[in-house]
Amino acid sequence: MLPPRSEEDEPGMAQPSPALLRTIRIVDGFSDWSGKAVAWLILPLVFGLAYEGFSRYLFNAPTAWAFDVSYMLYSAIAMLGAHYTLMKGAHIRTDILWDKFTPRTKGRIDTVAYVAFFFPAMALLFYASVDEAWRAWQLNELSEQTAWRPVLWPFKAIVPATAALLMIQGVSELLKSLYAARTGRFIGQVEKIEL
Amino acid sequence: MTGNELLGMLMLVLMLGVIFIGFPISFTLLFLALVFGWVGLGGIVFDLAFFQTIGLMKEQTFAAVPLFIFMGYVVEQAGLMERLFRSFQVMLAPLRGSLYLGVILTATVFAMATGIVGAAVTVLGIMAAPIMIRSGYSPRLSAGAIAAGGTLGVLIPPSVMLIVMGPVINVSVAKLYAAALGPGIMMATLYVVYTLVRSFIDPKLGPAVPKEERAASFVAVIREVLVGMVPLAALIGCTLGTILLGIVTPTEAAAMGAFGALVLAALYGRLTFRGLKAAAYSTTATTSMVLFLAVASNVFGAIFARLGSAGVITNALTGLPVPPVVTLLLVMLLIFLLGWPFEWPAIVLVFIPIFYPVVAAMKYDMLWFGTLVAVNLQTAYLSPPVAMSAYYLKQVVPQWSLATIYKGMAEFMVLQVVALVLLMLFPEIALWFPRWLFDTH
Repeated sequence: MLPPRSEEDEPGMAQPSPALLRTIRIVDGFSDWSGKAVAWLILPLVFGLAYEGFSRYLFNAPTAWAFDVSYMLYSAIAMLGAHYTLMKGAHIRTDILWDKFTPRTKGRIDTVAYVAFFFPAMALLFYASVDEAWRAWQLNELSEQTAWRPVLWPFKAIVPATAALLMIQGVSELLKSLYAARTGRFIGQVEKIEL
Repeated sequence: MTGNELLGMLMLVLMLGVIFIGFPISFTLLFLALVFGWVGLGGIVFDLAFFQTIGLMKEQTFAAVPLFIFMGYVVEQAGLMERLFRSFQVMLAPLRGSLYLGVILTATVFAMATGIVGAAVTVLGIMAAPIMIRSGYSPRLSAGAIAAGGTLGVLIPPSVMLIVMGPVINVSVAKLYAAALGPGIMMATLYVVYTLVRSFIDPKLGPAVPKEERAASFVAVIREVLVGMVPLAALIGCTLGTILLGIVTPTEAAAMGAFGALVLAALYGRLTFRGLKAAAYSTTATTSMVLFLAVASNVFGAIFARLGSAGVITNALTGLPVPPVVTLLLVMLLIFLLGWPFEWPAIVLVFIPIFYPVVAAMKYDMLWFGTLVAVNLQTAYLSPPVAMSAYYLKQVVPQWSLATIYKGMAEFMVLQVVALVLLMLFPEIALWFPRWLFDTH
């Protein structure tokens, strides 16, 4: 998806520096890889719960683990996929005005918003959740939901991990916004997901 | 108003301003909620935020969101929609306007196999538009039928929108599904009646399919129907049937449905690693975009309520010197207008929680209200010029001008408004089925 979509290279228009491109490529590559790894959790979610469904209603033999597994896997997909979704540019924006902005304006708005909103919000979310996850690990806290009683810390650690992953991908997004603000050109593409 | 109530109102106004400019909604909500909550409530806001987040993540019903999205992608990747359309096409070919009927029926059945609208408009455009053009169908009516049919996925169960709406308005997802089925089928029927009546009045709009496009023999028709329609119908029947009859939870049904879709794809020889990969990746991005917004708006809503500002809005709206029905109409009009700039996740997760206490205070049936909102939001998919469906359709059918597509969509939007009014006048359209299902069994 890199390098930039330059229709034709106007003279005097700065190309992104190799260091900038490399940073973006590394961060995006990491998010792409890790997000796609998380995506495969859909298969155990399908098979696990389908097994539970058949097992309970056909053979009257419910499993002890299906309930815990279902919310843990779904929330892992939803949360740990958030940075991948950010890289894809798929988090919902209101595009009624956005679509009319020039690349330069978009870059400026995003730069301000990433610095003023995004990073503080993710830092606060990390701060709000990391102690809880840490305590769950130290106390070896167990789930109260089912008789299976799995350890809870991996589930609780999803929240600070989500914040951390989003901050990592945020670095790349901030660099892309800065570049767009300066040059009026985008690096990479965004995807519009149809709901 | 107390200081904190004022703070909450300021937070709401700022939120509206920022998301209108276009920064991603979920991050804006989280930031404003945490900062304003911190100022107004102190450090406890962080415990509240974590508690709300974990609480939502434990909402087992939401596991159905990725599952139904995945099921839809698998069905789409496996080309089941094309087979279905082909079945309807050969079955109905001699009938006037048969391709409209084929498009709308295919879209309706497909809507029952997926949780989102997804690429329905694109897929329908690719497979139906060429034969509609060859058969001399009216571009305007064709475009309208494709766009309108394609949006049914957001309303007809297993709609992901209804899964997300359930906890927001305190109604079980199974009941919402039962209630949405009536209006969904009514909508499809309205589309069918409209296109067929138009075709019968003026045969030029939708002639019978040319002889060379029809099936060779009656046996071929039967074969196509058995192979192309029956397996998918069985899958849908099992998935939706088991939810509605309360045999399994929506989450389990979603998993079994997704599993069934994989099996079907394999049986048709269309289960490839590439397709599976694409389905898994798209599912993750779509799920995350909806459910991360759910997390953020859940935190925002909790802090907004804790600041006391939610109560202020409720009191102001319920205190209006007008009958409740006018307030309800006002709320519906607001949602209709909000459907213009906002996609449904923003409306269901950010705005409905603000209206919910108002509607609840007026003692309206939440099940009915939820269905009204769903039909209302489906209408937004057809409102030019913001509706993306027009652009998707234009991309795959370059022969049709955007103006033609818009005009076609506008005709169907009138049908939507008719349906919405009918549903407001006759709540039974939505309510009889859940009542029959849940009260008598």
